[in-house]
Amino acid sequence: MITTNELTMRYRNGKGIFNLSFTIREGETFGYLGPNGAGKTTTIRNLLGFMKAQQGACTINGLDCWSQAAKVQKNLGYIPGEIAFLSGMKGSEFLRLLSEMRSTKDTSRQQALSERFEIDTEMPIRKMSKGMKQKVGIIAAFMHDPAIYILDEPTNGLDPLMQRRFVELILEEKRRGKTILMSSHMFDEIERTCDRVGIIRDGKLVAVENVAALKHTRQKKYIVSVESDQDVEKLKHSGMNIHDLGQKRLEVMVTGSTNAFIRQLSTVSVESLDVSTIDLEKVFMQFYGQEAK
Amino acid sequence: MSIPLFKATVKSNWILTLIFIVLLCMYMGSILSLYNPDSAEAMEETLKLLPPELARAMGIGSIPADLAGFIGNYFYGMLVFMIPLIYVSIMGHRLIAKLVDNGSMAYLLSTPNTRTKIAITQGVYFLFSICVLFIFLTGAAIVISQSLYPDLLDILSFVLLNVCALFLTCAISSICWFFSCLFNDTKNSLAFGVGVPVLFFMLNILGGMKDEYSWITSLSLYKLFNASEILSGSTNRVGICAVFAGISLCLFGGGIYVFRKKNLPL
Repeated sequence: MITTNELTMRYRNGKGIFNLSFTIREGETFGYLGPNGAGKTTTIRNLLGFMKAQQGACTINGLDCWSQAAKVQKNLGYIPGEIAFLSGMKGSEFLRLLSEMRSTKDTSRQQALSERFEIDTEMPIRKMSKGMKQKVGIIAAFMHDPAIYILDEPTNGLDPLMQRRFVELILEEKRRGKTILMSSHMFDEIERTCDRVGIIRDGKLVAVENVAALKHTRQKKYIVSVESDQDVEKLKHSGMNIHDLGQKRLEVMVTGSTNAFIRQLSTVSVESLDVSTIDLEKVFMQFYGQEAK
Repeated sequence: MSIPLFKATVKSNWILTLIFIVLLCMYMGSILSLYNPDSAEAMEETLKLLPPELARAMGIGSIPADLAGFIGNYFYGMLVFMIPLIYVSIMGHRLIAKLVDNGSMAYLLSTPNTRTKIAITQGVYFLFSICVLFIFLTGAAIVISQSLYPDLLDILSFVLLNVCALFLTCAISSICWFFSCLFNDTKNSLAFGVGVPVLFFMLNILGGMKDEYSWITSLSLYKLFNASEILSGSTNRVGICAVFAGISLCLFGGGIYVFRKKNLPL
């Protein structure tokens, strides 16, 4: 459905993307990850037909993303990484403009989405908060019911409740057989929605992996506060992967089953226990046994 | 051309166009109110008080006898360059480069419309708004002069003068348009889109100040437009308009071509 073939695009500062090749099958949800400046947005710009790579090509649904961009867009929903709307418009006016430019007449989906994300689109866009703008962006990408979605950090600026609703929306679309390319920083989001994940660094695709396999080896990080220094010593000698943060606080890395960790905790007196999220890239690189740079 | 986009463009830009229509008509009105059919000589006397260099730089050359000549001299010597110049450089920038720079172009291009179609829509609004500007200006001038000085205005020559001014403004607008299409950032689009027309304007003023400098004027696009010659018919009006139209065609087309081919940082 979405294919890039030896895509190379070098910017003047030497950055860019190099020999990028991947294929996303029809009905698949593909997570696209990488640090800032790795080339995620450049890839997406090529897929959307905003840029033409110096070498290689990319196609969506068999259509060339550069020369047949307008045709590609017919079946594409896109959320830009940085959303900017035309100035001086209400949310509803902007959505109407897009619908008219796409020649879609049916507004039922647009209304359903507005209700789902609890947004009043009858408001001037410049008065909207970042989260509200993001919601308008989501509606704009989903309201014409396209077959393919390209989403660049789609939950940027959304609160946790809305992030959850967004994940539900993605899962629904997935069930309806849509093909999705999504870049994100939230592990949860990727873990719950994507089938495969590709990671890009310095413009090169360093790994593509099934999410199921990733999940299995995923490490979790806990911050434990204990009551006494003896407890600290006890845990340190328990053979777990522990890092002393001082002031009787310990950082514990747990791989696989959490049972052993709980058993160890039961031998000491715990004041508090926090789950800390791990940077997605780190998780991924752990999987490959590489140290994230 | 995309009709929905055209409507949206009209909606977000008509106020700016209206402001310039009002501005031009107000200037025209105040210039017209200065005209005194009985004392053209008195006017001449007043003008002699001005340093000749200044008068020439302002485009006030020979002293006109009739009303059309009067307007030609006082309005179509400099004001008709200056005010539309400001308008086209702001509008040219707003229609393409600003949308690319702030990223909203991404949304227009994420619809099934080609870049060419979107650029043509914006370009059509640009030219359309310039036409509206001159239609209102010409209409206002005719109405005001007919009510103040019935039957004194040579309407045909005056309309022809405005047609030439319209073509001139289109040629200037095509310069702004081209740079708006060429550059992705506000800074360059404005620097060149405003800079080049202003340069032409300055060259025209500079060359008009002294006879020794008059060759400078020939570097300026504005040189082709001489109100008194156009009014008297001593110059080839069709030829002038054809040159302006040719420039407009090349630069509007060139701009669209560049916009279609370039990489957009969206």
